[in-house]
Amino acid sequence: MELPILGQEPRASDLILGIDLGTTHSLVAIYQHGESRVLCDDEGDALIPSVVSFPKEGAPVVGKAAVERMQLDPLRTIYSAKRLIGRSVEDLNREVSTLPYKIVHSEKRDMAMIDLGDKLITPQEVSAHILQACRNRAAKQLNIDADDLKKVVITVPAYFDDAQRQSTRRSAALAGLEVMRIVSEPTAAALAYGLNKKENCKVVVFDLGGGTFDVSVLELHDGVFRVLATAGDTHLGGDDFDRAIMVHCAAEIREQTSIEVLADPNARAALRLISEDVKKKLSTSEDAEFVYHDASAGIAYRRTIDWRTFQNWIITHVQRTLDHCVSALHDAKQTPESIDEIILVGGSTRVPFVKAAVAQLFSRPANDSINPDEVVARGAAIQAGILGGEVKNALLLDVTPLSLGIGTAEGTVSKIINRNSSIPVQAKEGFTTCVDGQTAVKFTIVQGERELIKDNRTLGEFELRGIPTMAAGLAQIGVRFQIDANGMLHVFAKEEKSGVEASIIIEPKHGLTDKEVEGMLADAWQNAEQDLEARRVIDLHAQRKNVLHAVHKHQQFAEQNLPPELWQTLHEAAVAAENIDGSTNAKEIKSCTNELEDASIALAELLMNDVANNVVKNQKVKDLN
Amino acid sequence: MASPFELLGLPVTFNLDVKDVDSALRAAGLRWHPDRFACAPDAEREHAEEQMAAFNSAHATLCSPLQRAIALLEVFACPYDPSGTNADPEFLIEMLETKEQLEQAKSDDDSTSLNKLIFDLRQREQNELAELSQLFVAWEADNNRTQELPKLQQLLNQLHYLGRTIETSY
Repeated sequence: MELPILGQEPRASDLILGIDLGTTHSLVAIYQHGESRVLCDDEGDALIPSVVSFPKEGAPVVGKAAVERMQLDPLRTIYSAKRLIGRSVEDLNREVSTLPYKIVHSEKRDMAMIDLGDKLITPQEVSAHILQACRNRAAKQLNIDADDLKKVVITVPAYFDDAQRQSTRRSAALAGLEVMRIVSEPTAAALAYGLNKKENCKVVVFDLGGGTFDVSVLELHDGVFRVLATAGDTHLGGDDFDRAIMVHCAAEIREQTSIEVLADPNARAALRLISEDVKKKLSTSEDAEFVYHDASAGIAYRRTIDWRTFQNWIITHVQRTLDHCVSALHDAKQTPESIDEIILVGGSTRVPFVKAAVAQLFSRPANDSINPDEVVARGAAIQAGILGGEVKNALLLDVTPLSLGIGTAEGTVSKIINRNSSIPVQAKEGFTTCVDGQTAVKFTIVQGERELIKDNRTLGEFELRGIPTMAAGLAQIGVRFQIDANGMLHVFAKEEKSGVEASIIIEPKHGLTDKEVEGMLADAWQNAEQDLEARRVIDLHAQRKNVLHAVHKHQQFAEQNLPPELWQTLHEAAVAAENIDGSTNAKEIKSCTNELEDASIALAELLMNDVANNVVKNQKVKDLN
Repeated sequence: MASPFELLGLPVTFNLDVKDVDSALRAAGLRWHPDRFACAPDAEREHAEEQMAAFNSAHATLCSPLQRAIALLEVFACPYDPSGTNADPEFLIEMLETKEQLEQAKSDDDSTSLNKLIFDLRQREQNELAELSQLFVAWEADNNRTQELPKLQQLLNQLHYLGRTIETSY
C-alpha cells in the first residue's frame, strides 16, 4: 500500500537511482514510499536492451531501437560491451571471434576498443549511452528534468576486478553521473530478497547473467547483510550457451556446404539471434528447431535440437558454475547443508538444466519465486535508499572478491589483502630506497590468486616520487593500500621519517585515467584521440630522455665494469634511443625506451651492489637517480 | 594502537564465542560503515572508512584462532616467534611424511587418498585447537603468564604449519 506523506518527498536532486547495468539488458529502479520500484517504458517493459547503435549519420540509438538495427548494421551496433570493459584484447580472444563488430587493441591504453570504421569508441562510451538511457527513462517516468538526476548506485558483478569497477565508474562520469556506490550484483539481489525477512539466515545467491557468473554466500542478521564469501567468473554466462549452439550449428553448416558462415558479420549476427531464440525455447519445451537460410550463399540449414543435446553442449559451463559454488562455500566455512536458502538471479537461471544442477548440489530446490531479471535493480534502489537515509537499520557489509598483492622483483606475488576480506579494508607495506639519494620507487600491483605476476591481473604500475634525499636504506616509505566500500583501490604513501607525503602515479591497465575522462568530456568525445596521442608522445620523449640521461651519467662506470657483450647491447640501445629524437611515433619511442631500460638493468644491478648491500633487485637505472 | 579485543569491545581472552565477535562487527558497522556517511562531508566519510577498515581487520583477526592467539600474546607483551626452533621433532617427521603422501596422491590423481589426508589434517588441527584452548585457560589464570608459554609457542608453530599444509594441499 502506498501512503503519500506530505512534506516528506525528497527533492529530485537528492533522488538516487539504482541501475543494474547488465551485459544483455539494463534496468533502473528507485526507492520511494518505503519500497523499491522498477521503472518501465510506456509499453510496460522494464528491460532496456544493453545495445547501442552508432549510425553513420545522427545520434546514437539505445535499447529496443538499437536491437532493431542489429542485423541491419552489425558492425556499428554494439552489444555485450560489458564484456569488454576494463579488459585488453588479449583477455578477450575467445569473445572477439564471435562478435560481429570489430574490436581493436588500443596500444596506449592497453585496452579493447571498438572500431566503427570511421572512428574508434571505448566500451566505456557504450556503457555511458546505456546509463544515459536509464536516466532518461527515470526522468520521463517520474516527470523530473533529467539534469536533476545526477546520483546513482550501479551494480557490477561481484567478481569484477578493480580495473572493471574503475571503468564502470568512468562510464558514469562520461554520462555526467555521480556514482554514490558500486554494489555487487548478488549482494544487491540478497538485499532485495531479504529486506523484509525477520528471521536470521544464511543464503547463497546464484547469479548467472548474460555474460557473468557470481555466487555469494551471505549471512542475514537483524538487517545487516554480511557477505561471507564470493566467487565467480566475469566471462561465463548465458551468452556462452548461445555461443555453444551457434558454434555447433556453424560447424555443421561448414560440413554440409564448406562455407565458413561465422566469417560473415551479418550471418554471425543472425545466427546469434537464432541461437538465443533456440535457448529460450528449450527453457519451456523439450526441443527446438534451428533454421537458417541464406539463399545468396546457398545455405539451407535446419536441425532439431533436443534438451539432451543442448545439455551436452553446455555441461562444461554449468560444471564451472558449480565449482565456484563449492569454492565460495569453502571460503565462507559453510556446507550445502548449513545454507537456509538458495536464490536464483539472472535470466540464464531460467535454463532448466542450470536449475537442476544447483538443486542437486544443495540437495533442495532453489528459490525462483522472485523475478530474476528485476531483483538486482531493486537491490540497487534499496541501497540508494540506505545511502539517502530512507532505509533505516539495514546495512551491507561486502567483501573483496580477489586477493591484492605486490609484484616482487622475482616475478612472484606477495599477498597483502586476502580475497573475501570484508571491505573497506586496508594494509600497510614498507618500502625503502636502495641507493643514496634515490627519490623514486616503482612497484606493480596485481589482483588474483596465482603465485606469479603474469598469471594475475596487473592493476597498474605505481611510482612513488618525491622521496626526500637521504642515504640508501634510510627512507621508510609507508604505503597504505585501501580497498573502499566500492571494492576500489586507493594507494597512499608517506615517508615516515620526514613525514613527507610521496606522490603516487598510477597508470591504470585496461582503462581510462580520470584525466582521459575529463578530456573526453571536454571535447564532447571528439578529437580526444589525437590530443591524447600528442600528449603521450611528449610524455614518452620525457621518459626516454630520463633513461638516456641516467645511462650517460654512468657511462664510464658501465664501460669499465659491465661484461663486454652487455656493454655493447647497452651502448647500441642508447644510440638508438638518441637517434629517435623528434619522432612522433609513440610505439617506436616506447619500444626504444623499453629496450634501453631493459639493457640498463645489468648496469643498475651493478651500481646497486656497488652502493648498498641491502638491495631491491630489478630496479631500472632511471630509478636510481 | 588498541588491540582487536578492545576495538570491538570484547573480553581479552582466547576463548571467545565467534557469535559475539560477529555481532560486535555488526554493531560497529551500523555505527561506522561509510554508507552511514554517504551524505556527510568527505572528511567524515573518509574517517569512517578508516574506522570501518580497523573494525574489519579486528574482526578477521579474532575469527581466526591462530591470529587471535597471536594478538592475545601481543596484548601481554609475549610476542609470538614464528621462527621458534622448539618444534617437536616427532611432529616435524610426521609432517614431512604427510607432505610426501600428499604429493604422491596429487601426482597419482588419487582424490580418495588426497581427501582422506586432508580430512586427517583437519582432524588433527581441530584436536590441537582444542588443546590450545585448554592451554590458554591455564595461561590466562596464571598471573605471571609464563608457565605455559613455551608449550603455547610450540603449539602455535604446529598449527601454523598445519594450516599452511592444508591450504597448499588443494
